[in-house]
Amino acid sequence: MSAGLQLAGVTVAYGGVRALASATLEVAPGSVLGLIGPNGAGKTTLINATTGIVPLAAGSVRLNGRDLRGVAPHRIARAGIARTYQNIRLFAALDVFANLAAGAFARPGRLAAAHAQALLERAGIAHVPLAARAGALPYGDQRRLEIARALAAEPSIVMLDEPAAGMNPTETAHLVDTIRAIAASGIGVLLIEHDMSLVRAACDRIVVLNFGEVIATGTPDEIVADPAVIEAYLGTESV
Amino acid sequence: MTVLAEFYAAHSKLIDQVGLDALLALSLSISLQAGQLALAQAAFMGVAAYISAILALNAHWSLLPAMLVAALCSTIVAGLLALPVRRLRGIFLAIATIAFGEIVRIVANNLQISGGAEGLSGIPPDATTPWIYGTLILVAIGLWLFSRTKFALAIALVREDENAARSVGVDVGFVRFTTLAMGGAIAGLAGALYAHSNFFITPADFGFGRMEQILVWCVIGGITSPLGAAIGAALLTILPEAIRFLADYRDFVNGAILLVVVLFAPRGLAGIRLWRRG
Amino acid sequence: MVAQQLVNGLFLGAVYALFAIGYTLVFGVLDILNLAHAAIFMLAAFAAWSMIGAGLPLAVAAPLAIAGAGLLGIVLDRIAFAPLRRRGAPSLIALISSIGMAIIFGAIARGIYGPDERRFTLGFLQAPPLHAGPLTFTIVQLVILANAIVFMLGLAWVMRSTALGRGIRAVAEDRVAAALLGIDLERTIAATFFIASALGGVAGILTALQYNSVQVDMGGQIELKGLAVIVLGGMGSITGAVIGGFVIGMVETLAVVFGLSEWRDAISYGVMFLILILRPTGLFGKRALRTA
Repeated sequence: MSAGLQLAGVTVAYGGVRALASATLEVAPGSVLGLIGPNGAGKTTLINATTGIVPLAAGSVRLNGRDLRGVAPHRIARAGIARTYQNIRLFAALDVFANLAAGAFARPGRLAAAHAQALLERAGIAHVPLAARAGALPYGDQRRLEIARALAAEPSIVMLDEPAAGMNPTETAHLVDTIRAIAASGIGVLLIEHDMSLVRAACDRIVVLNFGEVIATGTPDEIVADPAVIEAYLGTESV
Repeated sequence: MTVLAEFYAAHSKLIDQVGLDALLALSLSISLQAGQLALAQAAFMGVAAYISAILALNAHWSLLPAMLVAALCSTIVAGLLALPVRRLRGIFLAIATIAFGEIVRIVANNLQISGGAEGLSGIPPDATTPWIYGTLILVAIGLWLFSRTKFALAIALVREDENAARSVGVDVGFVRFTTLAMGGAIAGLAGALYAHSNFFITPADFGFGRMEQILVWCVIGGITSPLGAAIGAALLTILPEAIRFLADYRDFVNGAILLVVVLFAPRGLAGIRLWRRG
Repeated sequence: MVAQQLVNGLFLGAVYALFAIGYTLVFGVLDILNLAHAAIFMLAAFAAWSMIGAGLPLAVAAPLAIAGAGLLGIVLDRIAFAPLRRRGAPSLIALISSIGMAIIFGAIARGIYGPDERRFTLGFLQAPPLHAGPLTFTIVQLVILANAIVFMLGLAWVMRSTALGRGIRAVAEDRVAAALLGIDLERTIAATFFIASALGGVAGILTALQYNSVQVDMGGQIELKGLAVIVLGGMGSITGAVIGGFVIGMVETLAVVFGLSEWRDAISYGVMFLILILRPTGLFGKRALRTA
């Protein structure tokens, strides 16, 4: 039984379109795997397939050795996979504490206030009051609250979908520390991002998607020099 | 003390009605809290009213066992309804449950055991005010205790964002099923009490008109607030009587109040209270 | 016998279709279920009845009542829906608002006319039925069919060939895009309500003539049957409302043929329930499940 998240040959099809074709990657516990690619490459689809929201046409998803194919999304969440969303999906009308309690829903017992505060610290927003309405927080704090909510589940794997979107360079730099700290605590992190400086600084390894296919896998230095990657990114992001 | 006794004697029917309406409002508010516009409370009420009445009339059951069996039946009916409608949301769920309610009403209208269109009469009036308010208080306490559980949080999460709720491990289907069943149980208690305080029941008592009323109370009181729903029910039950002197204009004022609340206090009465605390 | 019932079903279906078009138009454009529609149905019937009672011929009273119904629809929108639109309120609130207006309309009718049933004193209603081979129909039924055809064709023409109709379809498809294309949203919505309520008024007058009865509660059943029609036809689809109306009308009259007349309504609601479970978009609806 191998720990961490393994995707092997994962294929997702919408009608006749293959959004993801035979994707294979691995997120080891305590490491950060970056997932990059142009818009529409299938990155969010990969997260959706892993969390059971979209069905797999082929391939397998294994978490700590357990096959997750066909498992309902809420059970996959309980098995230890947490995620954040590209467009923030906090429970905006509820307060910060309720959002964290929501994250900890699958854990036995109730979330203690002290533990909630600790979660906020890990996510870098210790200053945010627990009673504040989640939807009223500044944008950057909302993104980090989503991360805190994901951590509240005490997951094996956290998947972050463009957590730096809309952040300025200072905030982004802080995010690197946050992500590395999460990995240091033993969690495997899958990071989808467009900001290459964040990806290079935070990730141990990177997987590159284009048109639903994995076109490269390797360390940040290897990826930056990979001709297939450069071609895919030509004219879009700067590496 | 005699002033109270006199007040009660003069208004006992209204006081009972307020209690029943509050129960019905509470039964719907649970589904609404889960974001489910499940409009079958009147049907659940009707099922229980009829079963309770039949048990009392044909088998001479006393109130408590009849009420409990009747509420159990309405709970089962609610649970059975939850299954086929589990994928429906919003207005589609509303219409499906309305259709279900109409079918139940027509069944009661056509069966002999339910007395057909004339309904059942001569039901022993065992459900006196203490019974009604006793049930209401027990249900209210139960719901208050329930509101402190994790499941109550799950209900709020399902309402706010179903998919995000799933991603934190909430079994959305189970939440929807359970809230519908709970609503069925409470509406069932109200139905049995209604039958045993009204002497007679007809299918028309449990139709869409009644359902609309219950929905209006909940919206006025504040969709996400059970207390608000109960108060909304109380208010809108008392109000027509209080303005009885307006006679023919009563309905008009009813509708106007509804409109005013909807247009100017969108979160209902509970919303107004929250604003003042502001 | 069956053929006769099918013919009867045609007339019933025509009225259902006209009424349901009103529902589906408003739903298609605004995502709102307008539960005051049946109240306007009833008020139009009363308006026609009053005018006829005051001496106006049907041919004058009916168009006036229908136009009045249309205007009342615009008033309904201004009071009950437009303020909510400005606020971005969810459509559940609009539903409740429409219930409030329905109560008010009902109260007005009850205040003016009382709760009793009224009848027409029009000659042709008492006329002997006509025969065409084995089939029998009354003049009223012919009037119904003729009106239904005229109004449905008229609506089809408006929707296809006029700028207004195209505007309505555009707003129904995508409100934001329509606004960007320069379509005046509020005017289009007002026009939609005018048409929808006018058609509801037509259905009301025809129903009143068919049963020779005008009463404050007359909208109760058709309000819910109309829902069955638009579910079957697909919510937001006019074609669906028309076809659905005729299907439901046929289903109900055929139920009578098969000796199931007491269960007639339950069959319609059962069909409605099954459609929602199995194919919620109905026959012609395009909308995916969306939250209220």
